Amino acid sequence: MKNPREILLARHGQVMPKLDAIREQVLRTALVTDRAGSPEQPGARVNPDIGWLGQFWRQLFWQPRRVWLGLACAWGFMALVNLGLSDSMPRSANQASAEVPTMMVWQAQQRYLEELILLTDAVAPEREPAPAPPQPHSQGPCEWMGFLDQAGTPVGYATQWTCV
Amino acid sequence: MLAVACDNSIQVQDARRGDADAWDALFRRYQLPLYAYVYEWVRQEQTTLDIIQETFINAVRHIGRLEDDGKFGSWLFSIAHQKCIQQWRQSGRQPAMLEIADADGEGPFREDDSPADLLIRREQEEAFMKLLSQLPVPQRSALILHFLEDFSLEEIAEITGAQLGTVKSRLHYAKKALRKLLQEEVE
Repeated sequence: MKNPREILLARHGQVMPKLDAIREQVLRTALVTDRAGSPEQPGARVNPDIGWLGQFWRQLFWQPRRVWLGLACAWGFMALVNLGLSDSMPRSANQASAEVPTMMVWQAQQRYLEELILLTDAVAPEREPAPAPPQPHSQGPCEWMGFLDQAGTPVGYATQWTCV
Repeated sequence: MLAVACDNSIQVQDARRGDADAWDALFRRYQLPLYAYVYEWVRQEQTTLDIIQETFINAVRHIGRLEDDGKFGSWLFSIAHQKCIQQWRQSGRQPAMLEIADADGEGPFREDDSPADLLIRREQEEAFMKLLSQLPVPQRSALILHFLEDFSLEEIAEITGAQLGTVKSRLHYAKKALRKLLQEEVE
């Protein structure tokens, strides 16, 4: 008596040579290809036939080629965005160039205003004395009254208060 | 007694490092069960051999995707299963046939129902194979995986991409039909 597994396998026993051939072929081809495509192991010998330029190329560009590809995609995207925005750039330039004369006029007016202020300060009359300190409402300003004789010699004085 | 279950973890670890001997041992171990499984799908020797070759090549290329070294066998069968479905679709067969048993619902299949318990006499072998060929493809697929490698229900579900309950149902009805046939043969 057999179990189902034995029956199933026994029915296909005659294909074993073909399966062996397939297995060996896969191991010859796929495994070798897989090794060639895999990254180098650390410390692996560098082929001296490649030369320093080849090694430089492999180490800088070939091994991190996916990184370079990603960077190229990013740069391409940025270039596209830049091109897409380029039609709006002349308008901004026109706006900026239109603002230049306005600024120049404004600066000229400001300089003129500063000159006017300086000139006004130069010709302005002497400043009036500071106002007198406040005094009680009951007393007005005091006026000195001098008395002179005919020769002009002071002979006396008096004060007069005026009410406000 | 079945001597199916074995731990390939060490060989798989060596295979990950590109050890040709480890690959050779792994492929040698699984090539005939794979052939028996694929042949039940496509029924053509050359097509079956082509699928086995593609399965081996994919295994070498994509070994990095295998998460659990202990599941190398079910992973290899899942690659072959996908190739079988692709072959089915290319040959114009309706994939709806694969969905028939999905509506069966969960059956009373027991996980400890070992394929070793089922013994078939020599005069019943032809009847067994005939019955196997008469089963719907989903049931046949689950049953062969169960017989060949004694995969767990979870592993069969992973290989075939079916729900766990669906796999239980398929195995239950397939074994029920098989036992019925064998009893009839005895009587």
